[in-house]
Amino acid sequence: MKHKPNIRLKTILQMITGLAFLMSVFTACEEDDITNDNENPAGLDGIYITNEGSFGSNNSSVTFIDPETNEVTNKVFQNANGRELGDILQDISFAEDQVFLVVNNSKKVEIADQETFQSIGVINNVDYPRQFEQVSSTYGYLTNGNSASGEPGEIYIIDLIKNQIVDSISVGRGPESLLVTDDFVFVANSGGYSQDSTVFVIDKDTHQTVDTVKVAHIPFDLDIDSNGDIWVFCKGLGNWQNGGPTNSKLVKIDYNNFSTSTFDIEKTGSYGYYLLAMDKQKDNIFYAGSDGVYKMNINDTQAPNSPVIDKIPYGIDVNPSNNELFITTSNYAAKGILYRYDDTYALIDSTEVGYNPNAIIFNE
Amino acid sequence: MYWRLLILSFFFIFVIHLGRAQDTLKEYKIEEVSVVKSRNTYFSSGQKTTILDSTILHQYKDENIDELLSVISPVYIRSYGSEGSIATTTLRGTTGNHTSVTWNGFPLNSITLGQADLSFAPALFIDKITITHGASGSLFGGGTFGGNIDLKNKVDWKQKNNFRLFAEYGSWESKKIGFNGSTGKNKLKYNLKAFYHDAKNDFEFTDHQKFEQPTETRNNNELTNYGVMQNLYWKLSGRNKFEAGIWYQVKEKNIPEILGVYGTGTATQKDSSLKTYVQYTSIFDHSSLKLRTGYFKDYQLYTEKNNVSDNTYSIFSPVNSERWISNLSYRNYVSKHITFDIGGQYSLFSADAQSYVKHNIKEYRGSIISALQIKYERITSNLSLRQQFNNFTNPKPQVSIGLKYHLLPDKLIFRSNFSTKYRLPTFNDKYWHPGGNKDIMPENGWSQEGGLYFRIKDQNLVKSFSAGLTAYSSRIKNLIQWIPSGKGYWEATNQEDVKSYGLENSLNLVLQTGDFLIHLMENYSHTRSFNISDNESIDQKQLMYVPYNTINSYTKIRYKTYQIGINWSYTSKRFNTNDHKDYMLQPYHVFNIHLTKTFNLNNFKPEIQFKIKNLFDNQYQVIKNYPMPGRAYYINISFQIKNY
Repeated sequence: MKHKPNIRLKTILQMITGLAFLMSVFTACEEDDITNDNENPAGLDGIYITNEGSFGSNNSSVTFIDPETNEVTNKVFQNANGRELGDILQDISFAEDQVFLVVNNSKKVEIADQETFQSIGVINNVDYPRQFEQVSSTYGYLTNGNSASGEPGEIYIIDLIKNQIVDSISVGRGPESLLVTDDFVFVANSGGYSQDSTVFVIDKDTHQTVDTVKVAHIPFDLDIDSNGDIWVFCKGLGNWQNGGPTNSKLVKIDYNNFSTSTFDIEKTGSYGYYLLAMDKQKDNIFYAGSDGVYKMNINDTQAPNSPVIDKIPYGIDVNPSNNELFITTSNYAAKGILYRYDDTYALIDSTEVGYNPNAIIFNE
Repeated sequence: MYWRLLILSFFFIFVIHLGRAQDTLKEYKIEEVSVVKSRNTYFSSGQKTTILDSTILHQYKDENIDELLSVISPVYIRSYGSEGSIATTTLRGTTGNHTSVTWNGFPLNSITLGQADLSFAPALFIDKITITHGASGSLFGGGTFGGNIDLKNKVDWKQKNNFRLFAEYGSWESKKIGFNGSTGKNKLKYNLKAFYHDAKNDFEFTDHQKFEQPTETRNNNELTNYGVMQNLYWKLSGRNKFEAGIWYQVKEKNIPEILGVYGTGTATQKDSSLKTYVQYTSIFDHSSLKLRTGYFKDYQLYTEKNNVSDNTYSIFSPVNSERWISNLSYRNYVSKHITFDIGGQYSLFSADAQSYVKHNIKEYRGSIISALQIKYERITSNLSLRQQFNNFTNPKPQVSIGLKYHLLPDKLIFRSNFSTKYRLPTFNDKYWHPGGNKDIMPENGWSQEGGLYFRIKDQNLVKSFSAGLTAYSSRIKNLIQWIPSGKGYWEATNQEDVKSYGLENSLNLVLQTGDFLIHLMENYSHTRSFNISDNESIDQKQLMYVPYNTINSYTKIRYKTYQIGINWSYTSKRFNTNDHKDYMLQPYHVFNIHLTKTFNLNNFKPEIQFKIKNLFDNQYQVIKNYPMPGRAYYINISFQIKNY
């Protein structure tokens, strides 16, 4: 006998109801939501970490550390403004009660109130901003340009009252760090997407380039020592660049005549940018070497052979008030870590910060 | 070595058996239907498959494949924005690299990137889509951890001449025009399809990432997409058949900036591809032989400028790739109960990109495949094996074992399958300079699944009803990831393991009475997919962009020549980092609706359709920082001449 099926609409509806129930059970067991309702502490004078974020992810952030209590507050900008900061925070710089947040891939400089971090404006007619530095009480310099086609980059002169670009100065390729001294502004031309090996010297008052100092391949970071001489950290060519790879170099520029002395070091193991620091007395240099953090006295005739800390930093700086050494490391899958060392290079503590922390800024 | 011997002995037994079978089973003639089934389909009966045939595709024939799959299939599409934006697939908690997309069985995944962008292909070009969830490495080859999506062309010998022309106009200057015509009968059939689409895609959105959160118009988002496909089917003498296909497609898409970026975007991407194949099938009394070869050429050009006004590009990156794939499959229907299949595939790949260590890199890949099916009363069991050879580290031998059991004949079916999988590193993983790693290992892993499938047909009101429930688990080992090397650049490495498990359910109900027809379709997926890692911050955490739950449903109500269709899809929250610490993408619902009126004037069938997409104007993001378009309106007019 032929089997006669006996399934009605009711049975089908029961099956559908059963499946709907099943779905609701599974839909309910998801992980908890992330909450972002942190508040900033009152009064934001202290230590800042520049968390670049991951490229294309709009997850740049600012970490604040209270130097008295060592309390860490992450996402200071987001806490104050209810939105993320942007894509690739390259630099944080303070000037005249304002903080300038240079967000490279968002093509903007976000300007916020220094005390609250609430945004008060934006400079957005820039295409590849890198570093901002206050030059006088009325203006600051911003480096800009990636020199992808080998063209020179520029410095934008920013009026600190109008918060606008008022003029520009043509410099070398891929201008990066700025160092402001009594008379001059030094500009490290890193090459950007192209190559360069020069430091431009600009007169602070006339905004004219007074000298071009040839250093070594890919100068990125600048610092000044107790003699007033300028130190340049040159990363060297990467193996993907024409003529590369070449070793990293430390170059000292004599402040009086802009003559240079070069110190051979191994290729840096870091893929950060701001890899040079001076201690409180400005007699010792710290830099990111091949396998850790190296220390060198400014009067040494050659670079040291072994590191003082065997961790490859993504960013490095010294707290000018107590000589504590801060280094940050970055991890592809998770957030970066900030490590704090005392002046004997013993680890004091460490804390998780944001993604790809590239620099530490002391604004105490 | 042990494995290779096993495979060889498998062949050996088969050949002996073959000789014997010829004498004893002269009366047994094989059916045409099972011969046209590809090896992949024929031996995958233990696996969950979703078939979108012409009746379903018909509703979305003027959309792109990505959109069609996202609204009526269990495939989750990761779209970077409006029409024409890159759209990759997520099946069973994996990435676009882990779902192989094929055209008539030939792989379409980019040999340089590994993924397939489904936004290039109009649904008009495809007659049937078969989604094999968690497809086996032994039958389907590499990159099938999520599954396989086969875009198929089919010939309909019953139809005589058939032509259809459509034009569509919609929001943000979307203009589409398409043609599909076939001619020929008896011995020879020719089909021509052509398609053109351009759109400005300048929709409005609120940029929550900017100072004062302005409402902006999406700029640099224009699309031009066009293509031509031709198919030829020829019945030769006896039971021999020849078919050929050629498909040329060009997509030019400007790529807008992510949220929060000032200025006008300058990035553009042009993708063009030529795909061709020929196939010869010979059917004997107890066996069939299929020979096929295909040539595929892809060109991609990505450019960027520093400023819109610049004459020079800051990035100018062309990528050329070619592949030649040849495939032989011999199947023997030994008896009513036993089928054997052996075959081989040989592919020659070459690619050239500016950033590669050297130019015109060539690689070969060869495979030996064998499969066995034993059918006895209510049970069908499958076994298949594959050994792959290439210039680099060979993947492990692949095996798949499947079972299909009719608990109630033709009504309630139990399915179960275990299979191993692999994925070869892409050309970028190996040759990109810097960071490519030529010593990188293939990914490997396995998956297992079990499911019940229930179906009935023609019961009073119920024209058809089917429901399926499948549970699966899978593992990917040596996952290839790009991570900072500490040398100043990112490097391809074999990283963590990935474990996934989940539940999939689908329903399909057609009710009909008189002039009324109601069609309901629903797909639901629950997915857990996570890293198994020594790094505590990511261990056991749901992978980024894998939703826990997705549901989509389609309801069609037809009364005489009027038809209304409603889509609803729901995607639960997703994380955009593997450590879940920062950000979460909110769940979203999308509703689409269309109204259609058909005029029946003998063979001439004009049709007019109104569509509203994202009916409730929901603001959402599939990928963080890429806003999706709001409500959009379309009008579509088509003319069809059937069987004249």
